[in-house]
Amino acid sequence: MEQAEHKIISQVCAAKTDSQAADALVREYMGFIRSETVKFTHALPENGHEDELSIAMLAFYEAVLGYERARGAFLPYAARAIRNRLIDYYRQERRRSGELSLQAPLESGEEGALMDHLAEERDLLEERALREASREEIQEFGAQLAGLGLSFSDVADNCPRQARTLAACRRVLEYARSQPALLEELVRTGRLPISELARGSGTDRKTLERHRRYLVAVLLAFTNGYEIIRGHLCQIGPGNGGGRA
Amino acid sequence: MRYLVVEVHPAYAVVLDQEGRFLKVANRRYQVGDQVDKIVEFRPPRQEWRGRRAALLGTAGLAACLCLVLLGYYQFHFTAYGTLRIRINPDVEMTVSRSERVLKLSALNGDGAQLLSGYDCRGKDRETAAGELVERAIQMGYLSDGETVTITVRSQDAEWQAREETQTREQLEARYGERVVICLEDGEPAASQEPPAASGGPVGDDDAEDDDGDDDGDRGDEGEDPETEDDADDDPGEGTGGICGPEDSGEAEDPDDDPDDASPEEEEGEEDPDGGEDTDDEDLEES
Repeated sequence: MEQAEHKIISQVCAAKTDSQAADALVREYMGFIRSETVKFTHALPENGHEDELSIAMLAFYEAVLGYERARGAFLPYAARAIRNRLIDYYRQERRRSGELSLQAPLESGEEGALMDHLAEERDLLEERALREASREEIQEFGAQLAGLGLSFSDVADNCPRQARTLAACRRVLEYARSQPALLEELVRTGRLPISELARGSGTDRKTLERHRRYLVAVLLAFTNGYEIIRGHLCQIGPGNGGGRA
Repeated sequence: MRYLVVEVHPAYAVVLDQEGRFLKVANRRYQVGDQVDKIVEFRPPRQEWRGRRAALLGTAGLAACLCLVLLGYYQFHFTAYGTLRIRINPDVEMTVSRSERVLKLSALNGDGAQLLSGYDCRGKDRETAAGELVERAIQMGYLSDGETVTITVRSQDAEWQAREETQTREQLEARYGERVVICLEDGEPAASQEPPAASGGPVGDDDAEDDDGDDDGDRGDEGEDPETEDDADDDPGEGTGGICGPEDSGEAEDPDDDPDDASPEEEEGEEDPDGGEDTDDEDLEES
C-alpha cells in the first residue's frame, strides 16, 4: 500500500508542472474518476451525465495541482475535490434551470444542454465549416507558440486575473499594434521587447515581466493572418459580458 | 461571453474569451475551434496560504513560549543570586546563581589570586567548588590542620542565604571538619573579638571538640552554635567567633589559634589530648 502511495505522490508532483504527465495521470485514473462520479450521480455518465464526468475530471486535475503531502493520501483528497465540485455544479445548475424555466422544458435538469443542442442543429453546417477553419488557425498559432517554448496551458496559467492587470496588458497590446516594428521584432526574435513596451504603454515593467508569456501569446495573435482569433477577440457585444473592462 | 476552444486535454481545455483571457476550463467534450457559451472554470488551489499561515502562526507562538521558558531557565541558572566568600588566608569570593551554579570566582587578596590561578570553576556547583577550593588551599599550604575557614554568604534573599550558609558549612565540615574549622560569619567581624587566648581558644577548642568527639552531639551543638554565632556575630560563647572575626585579617586568627593550638589543633587532630581543656570549654559553651 505504501509503495502505491509513494508512486501516486511522485506522479502527482510530476504532473504539477508537466501537462503531459498530468494528462497521463488523468487517463490512468479514469476509472477512479468515473466511479466517484457514479457515486454522486447514481447513474452512468453515458446516460446524459457527461457533463458531470467532465467536471469530475476537472476536479481531479485541480486536486493534482493543489495537492500537498500535508493533506494526507492523494486519492481521498481527490475524491473530496470531485465531490465538492459536483455539489457546486448541481447548485449552479439548479439556479440556472430556475432561470430557464420560462422555456418549455423538455427534460428536467437538462435545459441548458438542450438549448445548445438545438442551436447546433440549426447552424450545423455553418458552424462545422467555421470550426474547421478555426481549428486550423488555432493549430498554427499553437505551433508558433510551441516554437517559442510555450503551450496554451502555460499561457492560461500566466494570464492576469485581476481586471486592473488585464487592462494594463490591453494597453500594452494597443501600443504594440501601433508599432508594427515591435511586433515584427517579437516574431523574429521570439522575445518580448519589454523596455519599449513598458515605456510606450506607460505600464510598470514588473507587470510586463510577470505576465510575459501571456503577452507574447496575445501580441502574436495580432501578427500574421490570425483572422479568426482576432475576430473573436474584437467581438464584444452588449450581451456578452459587458464589453472591455 | 463566448469562448473559443484552443487546446484540449483529457481533464481540461484552454479557451480564449472575448476580452483576451486564456482560461482553463472543464473539457465538456470540446474540440479545438469550438465556440462555447457555458464554461466551468478551473479553480486554482489557493487555500495553501491559509494553512501555511496558520502553521506559521502556530510555530511563532510556540517559539515565543519556548523563549519565555528559556529566559526563565537562564535567569534561574545563570543570573547572580548571591555570593559566597571563603576566607582562610586567601580571600576569594564566589558569585553564585539561584541554582547554586558558580558564575564567577574572584580573588579579594593576593593569596586569593594565587589560590585561584589555574583553577577553573566553569560549570561547577557551589558545593563542588567550595570543596575543591578548600582542598586546594590545603594542598598549597594556605590551610593547615587546625586552621579556620570562614564562610560568608550574601544575598537579597535571606532564606536562600541562610540555607546556603548552613549547607555550605555542613558540606565542608563533612569533608574537612576533622582537620580544619569551618565557621560562618554574618557581617563584618566584630573588632572586639575576645582575644583568642582567652575565650577564643576554648571556643575554638569547642568547635574542634565538637568536630572530634561526638559527631552527632557535635552536630547538634554545632547546629546550635552556628545559630547563636550567626545571631550574635560570633560573640556568645564563641571564642571561635573571635577567631573567625579576626580571620578577616587572616593572620590574626593564626596567632590567636597558636596559643590555643596545642589544645584545639590537637583536638581537631583528635579529641583526647586537650580533652581537659576542651571539657572545660565545652561546659562554658554549652552553658
